[in-house]
Amino acid sequence: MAANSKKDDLIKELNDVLQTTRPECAVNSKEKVLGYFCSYVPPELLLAAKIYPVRLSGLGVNDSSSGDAYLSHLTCSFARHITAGILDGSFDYLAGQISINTCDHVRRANDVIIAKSGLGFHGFMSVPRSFRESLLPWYIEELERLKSALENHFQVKVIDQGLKDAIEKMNAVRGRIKALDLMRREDQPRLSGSEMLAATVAARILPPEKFLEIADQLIASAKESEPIKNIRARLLLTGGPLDDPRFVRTIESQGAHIAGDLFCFGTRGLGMEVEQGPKPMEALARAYLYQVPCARMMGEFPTRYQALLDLYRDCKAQGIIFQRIKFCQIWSSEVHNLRHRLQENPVPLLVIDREYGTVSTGQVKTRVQAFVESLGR
Amino acid sequence: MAILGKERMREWETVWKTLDGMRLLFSADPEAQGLNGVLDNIKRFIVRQLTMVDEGRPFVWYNLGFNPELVFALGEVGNIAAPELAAMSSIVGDQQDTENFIDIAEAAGYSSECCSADKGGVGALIRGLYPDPCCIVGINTPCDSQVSIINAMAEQKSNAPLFVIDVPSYEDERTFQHVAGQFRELVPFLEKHTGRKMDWDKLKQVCETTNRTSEYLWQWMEWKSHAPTMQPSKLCAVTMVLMISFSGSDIGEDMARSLAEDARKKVESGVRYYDEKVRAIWYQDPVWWDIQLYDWMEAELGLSIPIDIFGYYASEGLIDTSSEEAMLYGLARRMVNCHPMSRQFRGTMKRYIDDFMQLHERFQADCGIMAGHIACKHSWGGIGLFKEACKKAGIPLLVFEFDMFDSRILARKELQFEIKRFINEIVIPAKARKGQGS
Repeated sequence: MAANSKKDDLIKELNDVLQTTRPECAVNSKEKVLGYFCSYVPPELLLAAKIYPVRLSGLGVNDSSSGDAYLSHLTCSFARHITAGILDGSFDYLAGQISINTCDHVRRANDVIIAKSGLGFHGFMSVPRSFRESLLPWYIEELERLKSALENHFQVKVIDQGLKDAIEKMNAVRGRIKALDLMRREDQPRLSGSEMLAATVAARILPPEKFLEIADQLIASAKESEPIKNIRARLLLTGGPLDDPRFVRTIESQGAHIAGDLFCFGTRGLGMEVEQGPKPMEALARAYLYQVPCARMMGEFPTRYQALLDLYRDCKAQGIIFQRIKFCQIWSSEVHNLRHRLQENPVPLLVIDREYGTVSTGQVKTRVQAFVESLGR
Repeated sequence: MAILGKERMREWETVWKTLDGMRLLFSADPEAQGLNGVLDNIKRFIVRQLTMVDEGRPFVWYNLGFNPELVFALGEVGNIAAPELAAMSSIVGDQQDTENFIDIAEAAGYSSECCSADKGGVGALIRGLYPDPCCIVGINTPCDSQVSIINAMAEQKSNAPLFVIDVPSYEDERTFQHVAGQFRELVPFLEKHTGRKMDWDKLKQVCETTNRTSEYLWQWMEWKSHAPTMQPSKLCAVTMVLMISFSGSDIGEDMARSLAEDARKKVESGVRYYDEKVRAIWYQDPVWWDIQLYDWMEAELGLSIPIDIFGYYASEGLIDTSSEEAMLYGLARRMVNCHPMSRQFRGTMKRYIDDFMQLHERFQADCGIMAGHIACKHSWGGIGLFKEACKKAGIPLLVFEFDMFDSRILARKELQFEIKRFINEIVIPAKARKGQGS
């Protein structure tokens, strides 16, 4: 069927972007590109400074040796891969990077990158770890400081109208992500979980205009394509950072369909609409601080759990897969908390600890297969 | 066995019995006078806590990075640092109990990647060994593991309101002011949930106690910087315990005073209990599941640890008690910049490395021992930069993986092997070469 073929081509295009994490169109036009580490960094601020934001991913980095040497084998392999990529020149198009206090691993990766890479710009924000309203001004101040640092280093001026335009662009990106997400949630979905992840990760690498162009074509072709067949179980995928569609493909190869996700590289980080108003910086801070929280936020598990339950219901899911990169501590109480809650509200739960950059196909397949069977499918 | 006339949960009774036993064993030992001061005050603390339990007083729970002065100023409010019983069981109780707490937490889904102090805390609270909290104070220092335990505590005790203190990753004035501002918000929160009114005059007394404690700790470090070190190495890490549970109380002051006086007396008497050959800065976590290891290091290798990262108490000035705001600021600054670990772990590697270099020089050390608690990701994440800095400075550095509260990660024999080889084959020959060179 022609629509399926078109859809496959577009998904391949998105996956190719992931493998290089290189926004070719930005690089070719000689625009400045900055990498950033976390879903609490608003790309809108960079766009308003005429800088292309790329959420850092290590998918194109095959060897983490130099990252391992500095960060040790006892830290998160995601941070190690990105560090290695920067030290070894895989991200030679970057004009700099922005880190935040996401976690100890990212903070130390930032230390190493500052000390050992040749990048010209290093931004850092300390983002509050609580929803308490009185902490919002600190976040706004951090964004203002980052803005000043960008302006000084790159000799640009960030004006409110520029921020508003960037918010509009990113809201459009969020709108397309939402449309695609609804298609993969359908009873007879036309988009798989791995295809969805390719789109959400690419949305953080490609310039918004380019992503919107591809997303519109993808939405059109998916509408015309054949629904996915032989789904044995509809599952929800949650947990820490996951940017690798191959991992999701491995899960789905066992008849599972990832009907919804709640993690930062997926739809969670693009889930909130930024309000347009007279104070765009405050609007950004508010939207990003109060997004469905990452586990780095303290005491906000109930909010995340409620979002998970809502999504579980909306996606008509039959089970949850929680995944986490080994050595990650901020996500390490999540299973304890989930199990505690699920005692009263039993939901099938599969927990997978994984290494970044290695799909461990056989192990994952076996565990997912057993999980799907345990659901009676 | 009864404590204060009542039968308690077995783990508490084990700690109590061990404290009694140790106190009896060391009562006449002149080498152990500093240790005896620590043991006596831990016992006083337990008596005070259990008395409050019996009287039905409210308890505030918190995690490793918080200091309890504001709680003490409320009067008759108990304080529980979540890892408290796991730590006591390991140091002055039954190590098996600590490991059982760890296993309970892991069995409940709490990840093995987390700090064993926090796993032990979660296990103890699941076992129901602490009085229920009226509220919880959670702070994001010194490390990610704190974020995790706060999220678990808040879930286990979801009916207890949580107040989060967000400490930014900076070391500047803006950060101190930001934390002080949150203390200002914390006061009405504590008042509401403990049912007590903040007594600012009492807080002034508490801060003055903290200031006297600080002065004792500085004196203690000064005496310990003398070479050879006269006080047993196993007392190095006490500052950390003191700040978490006793800071601002007479117990904390008395503990610091006994350490300082013991160190002074030992230096002044000149009586040595072992022949010091090598001095090391123990950077990172102490071996709390076997504090006799320090005795072995001294007796067998002539290795003394004049200071470690848990014992180091930075000179950040005293708390100004002239106004409410000044006290809140002083407490904030001290908690962020003096609290061992929080000082070194929450910011950049520069602070971590600079502190090591200063300690190495001030305490006349010959080498560094980076006892790599496997959960300390901030330190492991900076290991490459730390190694490079030591190499550049010509400081021999031993790095090994272990767990401070779990003896199953690296066994005593393996630990001894690593340290012995490093001291005998690297440090002593290097020291000899240096001596010849000079």
